[in-house]
Amino acid sequence: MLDVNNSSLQMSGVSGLQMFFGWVRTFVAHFLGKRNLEVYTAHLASANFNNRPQIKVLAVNSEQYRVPSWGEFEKVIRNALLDISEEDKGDIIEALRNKIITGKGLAPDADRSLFFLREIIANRHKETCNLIMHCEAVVAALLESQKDDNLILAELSKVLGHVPKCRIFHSCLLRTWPTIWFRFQNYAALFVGNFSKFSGLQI
Amino acid sequence: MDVSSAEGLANHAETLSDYLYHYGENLPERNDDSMSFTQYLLSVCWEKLHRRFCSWQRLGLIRKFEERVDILDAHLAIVGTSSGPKDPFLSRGTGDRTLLNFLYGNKDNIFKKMLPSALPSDMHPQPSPSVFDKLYEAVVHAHEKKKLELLYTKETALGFHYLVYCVFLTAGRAIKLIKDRSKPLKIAGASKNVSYSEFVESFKSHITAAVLPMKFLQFVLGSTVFKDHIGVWTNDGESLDLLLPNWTEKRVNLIFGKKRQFMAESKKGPQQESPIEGGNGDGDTPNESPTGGGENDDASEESPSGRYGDNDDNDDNDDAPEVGKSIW
Repeated sequence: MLDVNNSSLQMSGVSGLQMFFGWVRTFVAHFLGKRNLEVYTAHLASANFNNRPQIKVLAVNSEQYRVPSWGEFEKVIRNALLDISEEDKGDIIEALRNKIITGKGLAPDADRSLFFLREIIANRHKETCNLIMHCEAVVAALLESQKDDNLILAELSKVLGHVPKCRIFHSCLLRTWPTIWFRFQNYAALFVGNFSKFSGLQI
Repeated sequence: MDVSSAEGLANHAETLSDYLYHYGENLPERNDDSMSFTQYLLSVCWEKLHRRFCSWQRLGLIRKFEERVDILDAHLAIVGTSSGPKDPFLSRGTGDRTLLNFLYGNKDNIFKKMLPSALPSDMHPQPSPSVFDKLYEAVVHAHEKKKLELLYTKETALGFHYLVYCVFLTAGRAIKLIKDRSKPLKIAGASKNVSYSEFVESFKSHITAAVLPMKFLQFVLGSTVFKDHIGVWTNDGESLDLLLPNWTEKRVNLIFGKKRQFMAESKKGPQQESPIEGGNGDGDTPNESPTGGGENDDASEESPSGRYGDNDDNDDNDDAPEVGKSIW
């Protein structure tokens, strides 16, 4: 049985190696992205197809969200526990709750990271919290509104599938965007500008 | 440029667009333009780079490069056997020629100056002073005989390991120096200071100085040699857990970061955990680890660069700049 308190991340094997390798390369992601853009540009130029790329920026300002109550968390957990008796569900939820409250057996950092949930359980939390959107989620949401082109959607989903999670849009300007831009030139203007809502970004 | 503002971000997008268009139009100027744009890029993203270098997870990785050479030794001894990593030594691939050209073109600066001076004197285990000798010979032979496969062998693996470590150190320190030089510029009313222009020039010169270490790191991490080396080090992933971030090592990693001058001695690292997101709260990913939902922002992996991404055979190659003496 996996002891989540004492285990490092479980990522052995070849697929884990690929993920690890990708993670290590994030040290130079900006520069790899630049190089990729240059290579693409050179290829386009060699075919006399060098147009000025249009870059538009999505409004991905961080937003204030209502903090869910512990009861709502409970509901999500309960719904996720299929084929388990109500009694067992209650026990599991109670065990989780106790674990969060006491922090017993947790590493200091794990304990600290549960601060937010602890405040919710104790009903000491603020009404709202500040969350930042993942750029891929925004892109995906935009694409959902353009279902007339299923092929492109499928391809884009495939591309986006390679970008599992990037919290902040700016870090993808040189990385995610060119992929979409060059493969799907119809989407060159994918990132729709709304600068008035934009704040708190840094590259 | 302050890209945290709407106007700054708009300018950044416009700059990028202009640069790419110009790059496509002006073949003879591509190398120079590319170097200039690298400087620009560094000037707008150095803070993020610094956060990455100083995150406890990544510091942990660099620390493992220093301290867990024993794993590499053990696996090198069983390469090619049924229980060891597969023999990667004859298969060279994407990025290797670029790396070789860079190493060869700057071999004296790299092997005679940079690497010996980058190795800390208090390392444990302490590598032999001749640890890079075989790699140096391999670089020369591989380049002159045009045999790329000579670059990474069982004999050069250890030297390559320490080379990667030194490049991490050099690049991380270069980024830290930028941060140090940026401080006077961030003080309120800095522009009215009589020394303001000196601060600006100093900042600029450190941006310039960081370009080559970062390029070097890019060539190393972008090479197949590096990928294969990780395979050997971890026995094709079997021992990967030993290299992964582990909460229990966070403090040790941060101490390592200060000791190796990735971050200021007097300060806590920039890695401040947000109670809300459980992450570092610094604009990076909430759980910056290989599996924890961290970014996979490796452009060459996620883009169709399998077709075009390798610059080994690219005519407009800016990838072998000469290392300036001032860098090392």
